[in-house]
Amino acid sequence: MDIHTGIAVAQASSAVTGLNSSVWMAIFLAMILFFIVYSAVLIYHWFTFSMNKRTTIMATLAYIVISAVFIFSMLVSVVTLSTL
Amino acid sequence: MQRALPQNIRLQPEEKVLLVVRKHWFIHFMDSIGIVVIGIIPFIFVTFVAPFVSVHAAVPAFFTAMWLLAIWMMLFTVWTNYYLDIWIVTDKRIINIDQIHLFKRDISTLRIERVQDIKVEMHGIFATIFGFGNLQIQTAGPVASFYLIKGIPNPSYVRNAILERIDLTTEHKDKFEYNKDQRPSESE
Repeated sequence: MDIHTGIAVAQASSAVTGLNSSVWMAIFLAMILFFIVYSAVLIYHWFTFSMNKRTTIMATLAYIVISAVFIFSMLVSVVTLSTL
Repeated sequence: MQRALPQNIRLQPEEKVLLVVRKHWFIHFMDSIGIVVIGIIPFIFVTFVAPFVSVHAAVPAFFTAMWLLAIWMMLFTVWTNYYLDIWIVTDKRIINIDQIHLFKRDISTLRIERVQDIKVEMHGIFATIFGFGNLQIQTAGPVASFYLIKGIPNPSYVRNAILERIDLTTEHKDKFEYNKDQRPSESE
C-alpha cells in the first residue's frame, strides 16, 4: 500500500468511525423495521400454509432467538459507536 | 387419522390423504449453500482487510451482525419455499402446491383417473446416490399433457402408490358408476 492509498484509507476509516451517532441509530432502526415487516410475512406463511404445527413453532422459535442475537450485537455496536 | 392440511386445501367428503411429498433435502441444501458461502464474506473482510483499516472494532461488528441477520432471513426464505412446496396424493386426486416465492403460490389439481402414464426420471450423480428424481405424469385427454413433480425422494415409490390407486379406482369403476346412477338427480 503506497502512502497516498494509506492516507485515503485512513481518512475513510476515520470518517466511518466518526459518523454521527444518529446516523448509526438510523441505520439500525431501518434494519429493525425491515426485519419486523419481513418476519411478519415469513411467520404468516408458516402459520397459514404449514401442515405441521410443531415444525412451525420450532422454526419460529429458532428464527426469533438467533435473530435476537444478531440484533443485540448490532445494538451493542451502535451504543458503543454512539459513546465514542 | 386424517392429516392436517394447509388452511386453503379442502378435501372432498370421504377423500383420504395417501401421501404428502416434499422435495428431497438435497435440493434444499443446494439452494442454501450459496447463501451460506455469502455469509462468510464479512469474516474474510475482518481477517484480511480489517488489519489495514483503522476503524473502531464496533464498526465491523455492526456490519457483520447486520449481514448475518440478512443471511439468516434469506435462509429462512429459502426454507419456507422448500417447506411449503408440497404434493398431496389423495385417493381421488394429486394436489400440487407450488411455492415459487413468498408472494407467488400456485395450486393445481389432477384427478387420479386422468393419469395415463407415469415416468420416473433420475438424472445425475447426486440424484442416484441420494435417491431423488422427477415424476412425469402423462394425462389423458384430447391433447396429452404432462404434469411434472420435481426432485422428490424415492420417486419409484410415489409412482407405484399412484398406480396402485389408479388400479383400485379402475377395478371399482363399475361400482362407482352404479352409485352415480343411484344418486338422485338435482331436479328430483
